[in-house]
Parts: sequence; C-alpha cells; structure tokens
Amino acid sequence: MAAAADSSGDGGTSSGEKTIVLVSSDNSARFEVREAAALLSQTVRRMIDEAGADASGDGITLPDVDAKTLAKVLEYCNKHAPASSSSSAAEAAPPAEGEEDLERFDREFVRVDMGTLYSLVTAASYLKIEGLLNLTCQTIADMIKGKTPEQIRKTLGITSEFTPEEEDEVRRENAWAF
Amino acid sequence: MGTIPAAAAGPGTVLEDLPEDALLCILALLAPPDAAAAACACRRLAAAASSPALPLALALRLGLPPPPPPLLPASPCPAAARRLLRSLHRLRRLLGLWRRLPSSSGYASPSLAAFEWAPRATLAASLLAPSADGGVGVSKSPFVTLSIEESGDTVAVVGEVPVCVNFVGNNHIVVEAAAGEDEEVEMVSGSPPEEMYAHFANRRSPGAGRRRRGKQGRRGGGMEAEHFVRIADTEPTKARPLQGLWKGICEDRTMEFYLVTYDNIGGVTCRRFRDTRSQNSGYSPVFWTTDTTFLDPPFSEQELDDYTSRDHIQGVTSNHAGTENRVISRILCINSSYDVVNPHLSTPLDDGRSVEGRIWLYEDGTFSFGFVGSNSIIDLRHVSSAGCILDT
Repeated sequence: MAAAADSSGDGGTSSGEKTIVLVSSDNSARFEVREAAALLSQTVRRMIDEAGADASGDGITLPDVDAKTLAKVLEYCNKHAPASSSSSAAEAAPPAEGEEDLERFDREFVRVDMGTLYSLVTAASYLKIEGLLNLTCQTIADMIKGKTPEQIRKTLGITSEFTPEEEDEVRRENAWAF
Repeated sequence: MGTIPAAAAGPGTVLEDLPEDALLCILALLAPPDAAAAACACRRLAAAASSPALPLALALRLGLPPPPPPLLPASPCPAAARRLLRSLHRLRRLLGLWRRLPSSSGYASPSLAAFEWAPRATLAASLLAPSADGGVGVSKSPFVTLSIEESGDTVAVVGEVPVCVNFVGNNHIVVEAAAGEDEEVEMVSGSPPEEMYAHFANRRSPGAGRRRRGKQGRRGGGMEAEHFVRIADTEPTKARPLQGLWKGICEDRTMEFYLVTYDNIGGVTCRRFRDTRSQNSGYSPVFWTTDTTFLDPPFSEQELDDYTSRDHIQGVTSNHAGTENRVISRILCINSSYDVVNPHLSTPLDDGRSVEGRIWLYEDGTFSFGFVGSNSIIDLRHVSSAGCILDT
C-alpha cells in the first residue's frame, strides 16, 4: 500500500501540522497529506466541512479518483501548497517554493502519456483544483494550437466519428473563426 | 476500437471522457482559429464549441472584472453565443499597449494608448501622457470604450461619439467615427496586405473613409481616423532585461516614454516617444547596439567612477528621490554606430560617426543610460508591471 506522505517527514509532521488522509476509489491506497495541500481541492474542503471533525480519522474516500491518479495529483498539491495552512489564507498565501522552481516542476509534471494527462484533467475537474485544471488544460490547448483537425485527432488520440456531411456542417458553423 | 497512432492513450481514458467544464476550459484557452479546428476534430469538442456556456467560460478566463455580468439570456441561440464569443475574442485582441501613428497633419500626441478591462465587461482605452505634476507619474485620459451589447455585438464610443475600431491584420487598428450604419466593417477577411493597401489608398483624399460607407453624412464632428500599431513585449523578461516600455526624465527635464526592443540577431534598440508640438515629435532612436553581453560585477574602478560622477537628471519639480541608492547588478557597453541607420532619422546626439555609452542595470530590474562625453544619466522605470499600468 503506497503511503505517499509529504517529503518532510512521516505521518504527523514535526511542526505538528494537521494532516488529512485521502483514500483512492478502489480503497487500495491511503495517502496522508498536509492539510494545506489537501485543501487545494475545493471538493475535499467541502467534504471536510460537511463531515465535521471526526472524518479525518477514517480518511476521506474519493470515489472518482483511482490510486495512480491520486498519487500524481497529490504530488502536485504537495508542491503547490502554501507554507501555512490557516484555512482562510490557504488560497491567498504564496506557495512555499519559488516561482521558477514551480514553473519547472509544472513543465515536468505534465510530461506524461495522453491517458494519464486525461485522467489528471478529470481528477482536477472532480476535485476542483484550479491550478491543476488550468495547467493540464493549457497543456492540451498547446497541443492543439496551429494544427489542422486531422493533426489534432492524431495528437490527442481521437478517432473521428464524423460523417463527411457532419464534418462539413461543423466547419460551416465555425467558419467565422477561421 | 482501432489502433491509435502517435498518441499512447492509457487504458480507458480518452478525450471523449473528459467532463464538459474541462473541454470548455481547453476551448477557452484557444484563439478562434484553433478552437474551430478543435471543434472539427470530434463530436464532443464540436458540441462544446457551440455550447452557450463557452462565452462565459471565456469571459472568466480572460479575467473580466467581477461580477461576470449576465452577458446572454438563459438559453441563447447558437448564433447569439457565436456573436458573443466573437466579441470577446475581439476585445481580447485589443488588450495591451498601442502606439499611435502620426496623422496626416504629422502631429500625434499623446502617442500611447492602453487598452484594459474595465468594470461591467467593458474594455477601456486611455491615452497615456506624463502627469501634470512634472514627476514620473503617468496620467490616463479616457479614449475609446468598448462594450458588448445584449445582442452579442460590440459597440465602441469615444465620449458620446460612436466609433468603429477595426483591425487591419492583427497588430494594427483604426479608430474612426461610425458612419451611422450598424454593420461593423470587419477587415480581417481577405489577405491583410490587400486590405491595408486599400485602406491607405482611400485615406489619401479627405473624407475617403466615410465615402466608402455610403452617404450617411458626417458624424462625430469630423473625427479623423486614428491608426494604432500594437506594442508587443512591453515588459522585460529574464532573458531580455532591457525590453519593454519605460519612462524617464530626459535632457529637457520632462518625462518621456522609451521603448526598447530586441531584434532577431541579438541587438537592442531604444526609441523615444516625443510628444512635443515640434518637428522632432515622433518615435526616434536614442541608442542601439548589436552586442548585448553584459559586464558582471566586480566592476572596474574606472566604470564605477564614471557612474558616480554623473548627474541623474531630475524632473522640473524634482520630487522623486532614491535614484542614487539603487544597486547596479550589470553594465552594458553600447556602441551605436551610424553605419546602419540614416543619420537624418536619429536625433542629433553627436557629430561623430558612432555613439558610445553605458547602460546600468539595477537589481530591482530598472536601468539607466548615459553617453560617453556627457555628464548625465537618464533613469528609467517600468510603465507597466504584470499587465497593469503603474501610477508612479
């Protein structure tokens, strides 16, 4: 069972900061992370609010995120979490790392195969992590820029089901943009 | 499912599985031609591209100041959504700083315009000029305001006067009085060089612009068409620390704007915007150099002596302090040779065939420059930071 706790120590950081346990959809993995990192997800935030104080003991199960994706998502959250975890400041406070360091991390982070990238998009959308959603969507947008529809299908791994008539109609509808 | 070349899609997850808001997010990040190409790629993207939720997603992403206004009725037809999308993209293209081209009378002042978002989903353009207090402040006087109507179309006004803001290619706009018709003359279709030629050809005779749109009579009190060219790269980057639009007090002791641009062969040019009612008004080179290798500390005593012996030019009211306390991080030697430039175009700095000088780059990102043989330093500061015009 992978327990990807944050790198500064094992469960319950030395600074006594609160941690939260997140469980993947298939129950195969439990992750203990700093509260500040977990709260980057609006969904987790809401779940904690709704469940009350006793929820963190058992861990919060995320029914739509599998273990592999959750591990990757938490890698992002840990890196981007603010230094302090006071709940009101968690979004406004700057992250503990420098900006350039984060940019480099983000660039490397999205160097994955398309399947993983799509899983990350879906997870970021479900977990409502704005930074991760922007990063992954921007990555896909960058793959689309400057390409013809055929090239886009190839890059993104789409098999087109358009009939020639449907394709013509879509082209016409969007002709103003070309 | 057949084999998918090039893209190694992981087990199960494909683009078609992505939630709607993610697809909207991706489309909102694309310029119209790319979004249209994406729409032609598969059904889900086509559906998302014509979804009425897309304009709102785009508006939010563009950073329209809150609250995002109810731009469309609850269930707009696709045509209205398309008009709105088109308007939003148009406004987005106008964002930034623009330089006014001299009008036919040769007088163009003030010559800088800034287009920024304003409350209630409008785009406000202001003309930038040195502020009246004689220091380094920038004053903004209102110019064009663009807003999106309920129908989804854009309207533009200068004060009370309706105007048209048309693109000629992507980096050139024309602002002129509207002739009274509702139709926008969108000049993007057709090849840009042809349109530009036609427009300039028509401009030669007075009133030609209005003649093209029919005999609706003159509106707007005879406002002359104003041409603006986009200023790209208005802020410095790590690789190009001198790049951008700057302001500083020049030898005349008045504030002026300076634009520093990098070219493709590693050279740098600095031009000054002169807003005086004189022959020298316009946009003229101040210095340029082909070699941008900086000197790093420790600096030679000769360099430091030269720097400290110079006077920092102060404004007439001389109310900004602290320029002498900035720490120099790097020095650049500039050598502007007249071999490559028509000497009649540059401001007469020297009788010599080349002008030598120094650029002192400070730790805070600003810089100053001065010339060999002169005792002064011109200190420059940022005009904008992270896309916002600074007040001081």
